[in-house]
Amino acid sequence: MSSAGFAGNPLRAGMRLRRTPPPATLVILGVTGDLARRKLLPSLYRLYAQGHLPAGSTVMGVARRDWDRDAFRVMVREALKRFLGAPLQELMWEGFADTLHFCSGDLVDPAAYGQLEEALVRVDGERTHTGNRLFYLAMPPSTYPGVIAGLGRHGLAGRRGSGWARIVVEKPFGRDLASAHALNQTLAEWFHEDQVFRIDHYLGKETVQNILVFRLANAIFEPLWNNRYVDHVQITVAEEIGIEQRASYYEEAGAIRDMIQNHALQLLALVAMEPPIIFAAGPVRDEKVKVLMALRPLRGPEVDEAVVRGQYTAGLSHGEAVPGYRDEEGVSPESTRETYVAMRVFIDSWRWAGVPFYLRTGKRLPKRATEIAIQFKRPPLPLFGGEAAAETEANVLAMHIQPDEGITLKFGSKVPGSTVHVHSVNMDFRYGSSFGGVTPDAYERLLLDSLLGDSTLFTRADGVEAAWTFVDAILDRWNDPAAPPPRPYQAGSWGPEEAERMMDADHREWRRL
Amino acid sequence: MSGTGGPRDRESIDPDAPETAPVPGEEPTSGVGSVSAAESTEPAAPELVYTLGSSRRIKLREAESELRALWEEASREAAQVGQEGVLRLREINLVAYAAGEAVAERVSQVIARLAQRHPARAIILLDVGLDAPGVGATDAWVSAACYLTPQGERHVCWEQVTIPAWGRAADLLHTTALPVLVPHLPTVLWWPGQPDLRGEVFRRLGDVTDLLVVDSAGFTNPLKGLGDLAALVRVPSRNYHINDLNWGRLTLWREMVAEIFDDPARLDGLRRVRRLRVAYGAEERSGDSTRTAGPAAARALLVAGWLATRLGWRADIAGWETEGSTFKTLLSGPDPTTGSVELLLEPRVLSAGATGGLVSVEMQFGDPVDPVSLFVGRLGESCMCEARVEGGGEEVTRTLDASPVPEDRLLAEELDYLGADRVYEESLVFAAALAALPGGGGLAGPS
Repeated sequence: MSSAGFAGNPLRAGMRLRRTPPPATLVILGVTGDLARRKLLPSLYRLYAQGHLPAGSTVMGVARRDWDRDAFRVMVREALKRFLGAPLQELMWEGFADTLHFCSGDLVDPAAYGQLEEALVRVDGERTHTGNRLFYLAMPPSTYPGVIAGLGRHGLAGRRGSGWARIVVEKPFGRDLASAHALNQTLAEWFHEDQVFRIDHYLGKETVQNILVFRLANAIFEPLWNNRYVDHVQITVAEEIGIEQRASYYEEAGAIRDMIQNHALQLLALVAMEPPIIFAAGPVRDEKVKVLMALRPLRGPEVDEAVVRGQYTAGLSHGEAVPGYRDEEGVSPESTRETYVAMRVFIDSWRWAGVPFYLRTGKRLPKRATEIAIQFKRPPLPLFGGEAAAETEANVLAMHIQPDEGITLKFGSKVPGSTVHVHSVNMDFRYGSSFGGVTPDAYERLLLDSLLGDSTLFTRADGVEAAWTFVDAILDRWNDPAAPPPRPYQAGSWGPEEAERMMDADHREWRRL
Repeated sequence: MSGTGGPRDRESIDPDAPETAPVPGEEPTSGVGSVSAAESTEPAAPELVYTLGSSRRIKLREAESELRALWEEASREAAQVGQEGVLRLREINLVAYAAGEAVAERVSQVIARLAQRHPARAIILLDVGLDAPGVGATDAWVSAACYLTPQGERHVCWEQVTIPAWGRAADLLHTTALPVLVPHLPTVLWWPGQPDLRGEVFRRLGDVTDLLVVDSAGFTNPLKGLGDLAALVRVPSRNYHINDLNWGRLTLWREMVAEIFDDPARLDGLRRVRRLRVAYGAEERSGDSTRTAGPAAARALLVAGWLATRLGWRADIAGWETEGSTFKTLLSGPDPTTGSVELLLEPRVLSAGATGGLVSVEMQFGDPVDPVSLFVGRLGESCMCEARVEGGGEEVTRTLDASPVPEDRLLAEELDYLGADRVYEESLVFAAALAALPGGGGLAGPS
């Protein structure tokens, strides 16, 4: 269906295939950066090509370069050729190029905001006509407070007639609770919460969106979704790559800030939340925040028991020799920054009391794989004796998020024959093939949602702070000299032995991915 | 015939010829349709298919057991290579009526591509014709195939039963479908040509159908066909929904027209439309200047029907007049103060290589002194479509890719919904009324 907001247009009745936002100017602040070139511009081109950007839509790039509009178009064309993953269609490109405008300015300089305002007024008069503006912060996080305040002080955060102003903020959203709170305060000073879209691109993935549909649109699963039937939950966010060219960022962030505080805890919240009263941004985010607030805090030495941090050493990745973390360019030889985290967490709620949630993430693991696995309890009675009893495995419902998106249900089945042997079989549902064709890129989906004003898949201020509250306590312990240091693990392995031992102690094991 | 399948290129699905022909003197329709990479609708994986066993000729009464045998064979093969069996997916019964071998072959190809999004038990009813010698509908061809994941595992698998009938049995084809329908699944009847709505086969299949999908672009007589369909829509006892792939081809055009009026400043213009001109051309790409524009005529009428029903126009004033090759009529506006709307339908003969179908939709609306013109149309004869608004002190343009949408994707979109499309039904009824106005006999172009 088409978006809300066009209720007065009788031609929209029964239009079932498209979600089309109203015309707006999308202002990419930091348009020459990696994020804009690799993700944002290709996603916008695809949205344009698919007809999701209506006539009058404008993309305004902002950067320090002393470029004119033509130079900007050259840069965008190069970015698309490199990162689009498909050939440019000339006529389509010409149409898209028409939406591209550029405003040169250093956003550290207050005068730049005045120039930006002038450029926006001009382009709105020429093309957009709605006054709608979406600011996308595609800049280093350290610049966020200054840029947000700059936009606010120059009146760019407010409504213009019936036009709206929104802001998309990329992760990392703060580096601890204090900085996240300060950033939220800065945002709140100039923008209302419903104008703010904190992006976590994991939430734009089809399978992540399908978690709630799968749970709540199928009556057979929800009755099992609690501590009576679920033994434990594993959430894995594994990367095979190292830190690439991001040593300075990673030395500051580490795995817990890079992956756990945002992606992993967002996945956990979606798996564990109560059903919202309706599927809308407010109620969905209310329920997610309740989960994060119900996370049992880990304090002091409890962290040593429940959290394993690791750091990769030299090893092989797909057979190729790769350096250890401390040997990476830009990393201190004495660095204690973690590249791996595994943890056992509990949610103190009626539904999940006593059910451990195991989270793990790491770099230089054997493969790239993100999944959520719900492991159910074993049958109460080993009914099939002998070998069959030993062969019976627990049912597992695995939701694969990357690289292939899909859902697998593992269940036991009798092997045909005169004896009773039970083998596990996987019932496998993959998005790419089961619904045909290309699932939209996460950025495409989230850009479209932000233009439509749908914040369901974005994190809210209280959600961000609840996640940081939980993570901060772990970081506090790690700052204590009494805390065990990161455990080494060889690049290409599944992490330090201590992570295995944590599971052994619980009589469980990590899933082999 | 090896009896076992193997990973193959899309172009080589089921290359094995059946052992005997299904109808006297003719080559049989193969089981699972081939999917050429060039025709493929989706660029994504899976790239390969795996034919389970071989397409086999069987007695119709053995269809279930033979299909079961194919699946068991496939499971054994999977186990031998360490896989965990195959997943047999059937979301719907898809019954397709094919008048002749060529249609059956095309239908089979569409079903194979469709299986990625809507795996089905497909039943192709192959009407060989009353004139064929003898009587028969006791045999069938069964086949099954899977798409392969990039890792080579068999994933979405579908199955197909092709039932040829000839002689008097062709009139009883509906009875052959009933025993092979999977219970408790929705049944979709896809009729690629112009159905004989009064025929026994159509009427009886309608009794077990949840959704009828036709394609008015394939009607041999589109004006009559629209009228017949509109009459069917009005039948209160009908227990199935009706959709038209030709309507799906209009989605992008409708979107481009509609979005112009998303701007509240232009919305009022919809109450003051003065003229609508729809130009349309021949479908086929050839140098034959006598081609019929019939398939696109249905689309042009549906566009007019869509706008008329959304905007409250009525076809109660006059019949068609012709000005050169253009047909003109007047429609009553939404209320007495707004005057009438001039509707112009313009069939065109396009040059070879041009993309057929709709050529342009033009509207003039707003202030009579300074009217606004909306043009949505093809850029030259390309697949690209431009929307342009001029007048009233503004100019807006935008471009979209309006390449022809493959049949399997159109069908998949109908199957995504499986429900009634009231806007289509109302547009159809109006389109049929327009087609029936006096003087409109040439709307489908020179035949």
